[in-house]
Amino acid sequence: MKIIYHCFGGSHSSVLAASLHLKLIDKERLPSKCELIALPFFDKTNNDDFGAIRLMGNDEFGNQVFVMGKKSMGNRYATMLEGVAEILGGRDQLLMVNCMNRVNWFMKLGGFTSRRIGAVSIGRPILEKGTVDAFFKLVNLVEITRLKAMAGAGL
Amino acid sequence: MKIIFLGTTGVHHTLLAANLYLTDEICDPARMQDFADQRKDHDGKPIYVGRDEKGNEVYTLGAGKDVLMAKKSIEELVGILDFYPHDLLVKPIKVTGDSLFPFINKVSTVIPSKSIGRVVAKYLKSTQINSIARQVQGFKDHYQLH
Repeated sequence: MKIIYHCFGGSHSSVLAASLHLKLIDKERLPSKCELIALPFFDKTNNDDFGAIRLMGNDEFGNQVFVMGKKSMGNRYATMLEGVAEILGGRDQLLMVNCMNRVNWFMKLGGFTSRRIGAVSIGRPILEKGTVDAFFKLVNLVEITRLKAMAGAGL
Repeated sequence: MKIIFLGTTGVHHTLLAANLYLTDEICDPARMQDFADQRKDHDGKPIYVGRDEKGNEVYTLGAGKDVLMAKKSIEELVGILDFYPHDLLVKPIKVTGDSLFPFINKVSTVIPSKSIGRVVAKYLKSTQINSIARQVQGFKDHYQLH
């Protein structure tokens, strides 16, 4: 199965969720700032990355885990890609996971300041606070997603 | 093979392009099935229009304001799902004022009126049809879909 975690920029909440899914980061405790920044793609994307579906890795069940930024396109964007998968005959292979409903205002403000304005030194501390606050909500989302993926794979 | 005409909505200029592609005839948009029918466009899934003479399925798709970002995602998804690029061709259709069409769809959900669709149909037929025809022809030439 192909699992795509998506958020506004494909740089923060989706990357953290994918990292939790792939166990690149411990779900039992809050991550340090260094651990967050060390994650692949975390707070490192630019405007050219919008819409790109980037592979983060394979989980222990063989599912491929991706991240994507879709700007403010909402759930319609996921529905659109699911529809495309459906006409190709690959709908059952695809699981789209929206991370935006687990994102708080600190993450939005910090992410915007760091990525869109380019003021990394100002945006990143705000972003890190928001990420820590949202951490266990994202853990919950990933747990649900892993169960869905296992059910989809008949495990 | 599947072909998607991609635009800000799937029921205005993209539908006109899909019909032009299938029939090679310029028909009145207002008489087309599904034209300006926002219910068809509402959920964001591809809208089936028909099959060309080679058996390719033709769809329209409304992607909202960032059509090129959507094109990139769709093309990458095709590869991720282990299909070949030629299994799905995506042709963005761009016309002047198309950024207003999603807004018109939203208005139509609140104020259902055929007159809004007729105004858009008249606008497309009178001012944009040549541009759409050129884009469709360019697409056919590029992929030799004659």
